[in-house]
Amino acid sequence: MNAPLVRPGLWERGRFGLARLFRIREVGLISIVVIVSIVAAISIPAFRNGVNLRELLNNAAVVAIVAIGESLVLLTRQIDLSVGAILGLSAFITGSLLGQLGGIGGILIALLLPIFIGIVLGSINGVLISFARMPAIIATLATLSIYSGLQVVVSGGSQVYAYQLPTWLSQLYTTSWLGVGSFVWIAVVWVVLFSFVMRILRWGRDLYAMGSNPEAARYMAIPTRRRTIQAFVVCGALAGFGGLLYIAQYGNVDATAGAGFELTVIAGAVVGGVSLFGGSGSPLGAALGAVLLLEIENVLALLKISIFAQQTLQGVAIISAVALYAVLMRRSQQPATRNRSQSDNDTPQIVKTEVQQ
Amino acid sequence: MAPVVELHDIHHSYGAVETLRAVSFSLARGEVVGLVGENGAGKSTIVKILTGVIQPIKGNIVVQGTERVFTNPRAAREAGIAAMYQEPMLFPDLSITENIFAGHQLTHRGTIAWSQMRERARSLQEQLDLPIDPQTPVYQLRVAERQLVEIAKALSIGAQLLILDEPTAVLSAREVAALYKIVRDLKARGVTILFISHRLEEVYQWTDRVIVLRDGQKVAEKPTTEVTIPELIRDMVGREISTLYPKQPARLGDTVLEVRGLTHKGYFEDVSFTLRQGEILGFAGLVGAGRTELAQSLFGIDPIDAGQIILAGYSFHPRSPHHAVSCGLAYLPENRLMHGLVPTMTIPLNTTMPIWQRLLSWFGVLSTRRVNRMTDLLSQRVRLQPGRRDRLVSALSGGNQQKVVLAKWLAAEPRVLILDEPTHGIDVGAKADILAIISELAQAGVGIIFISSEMEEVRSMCDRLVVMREGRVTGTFDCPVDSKTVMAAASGLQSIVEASA
Repeated sequence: MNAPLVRPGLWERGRFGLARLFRIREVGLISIVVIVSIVAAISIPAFRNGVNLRELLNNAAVVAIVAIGESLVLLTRQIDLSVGAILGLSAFITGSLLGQLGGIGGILIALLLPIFIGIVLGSINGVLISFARMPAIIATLATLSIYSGLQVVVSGGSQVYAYQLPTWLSQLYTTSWLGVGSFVWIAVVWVVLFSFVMRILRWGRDLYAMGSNPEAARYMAIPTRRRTIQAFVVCGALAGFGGLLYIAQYGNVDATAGAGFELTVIAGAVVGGVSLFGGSGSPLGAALGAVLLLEIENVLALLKISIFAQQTLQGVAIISAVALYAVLMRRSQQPATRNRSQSDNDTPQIVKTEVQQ
Repeated sequence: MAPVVELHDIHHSYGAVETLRAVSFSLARGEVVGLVGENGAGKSTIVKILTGVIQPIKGNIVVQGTERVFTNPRAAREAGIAAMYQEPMLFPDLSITENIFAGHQLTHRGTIAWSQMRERARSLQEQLDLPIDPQTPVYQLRVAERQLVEIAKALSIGAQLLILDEPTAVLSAREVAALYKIVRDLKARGVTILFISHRLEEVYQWTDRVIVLRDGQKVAEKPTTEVTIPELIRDMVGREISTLYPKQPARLGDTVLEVRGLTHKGYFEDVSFTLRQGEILGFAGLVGAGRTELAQSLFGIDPIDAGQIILAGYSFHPRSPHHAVSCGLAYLPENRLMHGLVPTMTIPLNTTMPIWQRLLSWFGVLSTRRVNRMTDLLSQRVRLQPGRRDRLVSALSGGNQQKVVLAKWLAAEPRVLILDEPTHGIDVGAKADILAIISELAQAGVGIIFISSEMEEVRSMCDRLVVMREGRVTGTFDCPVDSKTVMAAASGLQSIVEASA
């Protein structure tokens, strides 16, 4: 009866307090990012180059922002394959309209329009999945096709060129504050926002619950359909917002903008520890995973490894990450099974039961 | 005493199948009521109606004097009715705290009040004697601990009625005793408990009153002190079951399996026994004593670190289940749906799976005619109701599924059959059938290893009994043997047994 209330978990038993910290996935991820950065900075001079770092971080920021949205969808045990197409379509429409707009109103529209486009496209995904009951992988595969087709139709083969954009937007890419680029700040704002949303709002916890055990979520009267749509809407909105950054980054937008982007985003989220089976992971993890993935890509490129070998190595990185999480998961399950045999050591009560008969 | 919950004239049906007919009963405050019946008698339908998962087509529910209609599970919870299922409905990735408060999180100005929730969780856990950090994710917990989390959840909403749906089938004896203690505590605090179990001894010991359901109707309702277990069984089955344990004497032949000093480190050590043709050798012990692990090593699922196995006179080292089957071993695992059957295949395909090679027609295609003929033969032997051959096994009741698994291994004509908890979760009628089949198999000369945690069952069905504790053999007895001796060997507590005897 007087057992201590807290059973030591896996890592607490270790001698080092730090070990406990590493149980938190995100801490491990940050350390890996930092270690890779230090090694790369020391061994590859080109990595330290300011232009390279800016490029890397800006690229990573865009992927990370979209990965945050994707992580919400993945947490509910769904998947969104259309984020690349949403990003592309939003980038093209926003880019072609922005030229005509100036002043504060222009800035406001530039911020809201891509998010609005994302919301519309995301809600189409959500409705297909929640109400038409289509499996997310099929529904979003279809909308991926539809949205990127629309992009071609809307563009009519034309392009948006950098000179058509307002100057503040093209300057955004190189603007920095406290030595950190604007893209990174923007990504940080989104990460912080969604970390709080997912941690302290019921809404966020509902998404975790749905992904962890959909049936139990329904029993708990969580409005699962509504939450599913909302997750896709938020995911679309962030992908749409990613489109704005895409314009700012590249200046030129054509009909193929965003093609294949979804795979990088999903890979980033998975490397960041977001489970494709739902319920486990975090927006911060997804963002860090995206950073890690792009950093590895960058290092490989700088090492002049052929693009094909790069792809292969990235695939290996994804598999290693997933394998690592699987091992960690199994390890943390062990204490429970190990205790099992001990628990049956003494059984005065049953003995009595037997005798009573 | 004023009833907490009353059911009046409840009817329910799935399509044309009437699942409940005019069921009425009431539950008083602080009462422990047993609800028993065979599978399909309507127990789980009642649970679903009480918890708002489904709605009755007729009849009403009265909670503390007010008539209520539960249109969803939340409405039932808010009325103070909570249920704990055998496999609790929890969120494995989320912490204990979050699971306890799922659906009714404490909030402070719209944000979740984590520290407050953790404090509440801690105090609830203390009441239930669950000394684990409330931040531990639930997937790290054992089933018994998960059940306690479910109870804590019920307490957190101030449940007046707690339904325990088959909670003990997955627990070890000690965990059952701990749960019993909690049930008594809750009763003392005025919580009403509806207890559902196949283990009639438990129903007998735990409850104040028993309600018996059969074919969707209430057939008996009596104070527990006024009924006997045979009476309960008769009410449940609707006919007299001559004997629960139909063991027939079998002629014992040569030694078919000999095991010497078998060890799988961390699971079992130095296990030795012999098994003769036609013999039923029982393995008794508590959950976690290493019996299942022993079976799995014999069958080539888990490795062997040391020791020797002699099968029908030849040294045998199981490499894989496939190898074990080809050497004449068969294993009926504890979890039949997970390891014993392919739920999405039909009965004939499941039963003939081990002998598909022998049922091929020309060009190596599986012959439907031969598969069906074989199945008919086997179905007869295991008393599986014929007809509806094309049914998927996932649609069968637990007892019938177990018969399909048995049929499957009969098809393979094993020399040694290992049965791991073959009657686990099966209702009384089907249980007697299955035990009779096992006895017939022994008479036909099969050597049978019979693992069971039900003391009466192993004692009555077996020729000899091996008792294991913590991975070691602590005794081998010729049957009949009295249960006290077996319990002493199983628990290692000679003194306590003597003291309480």
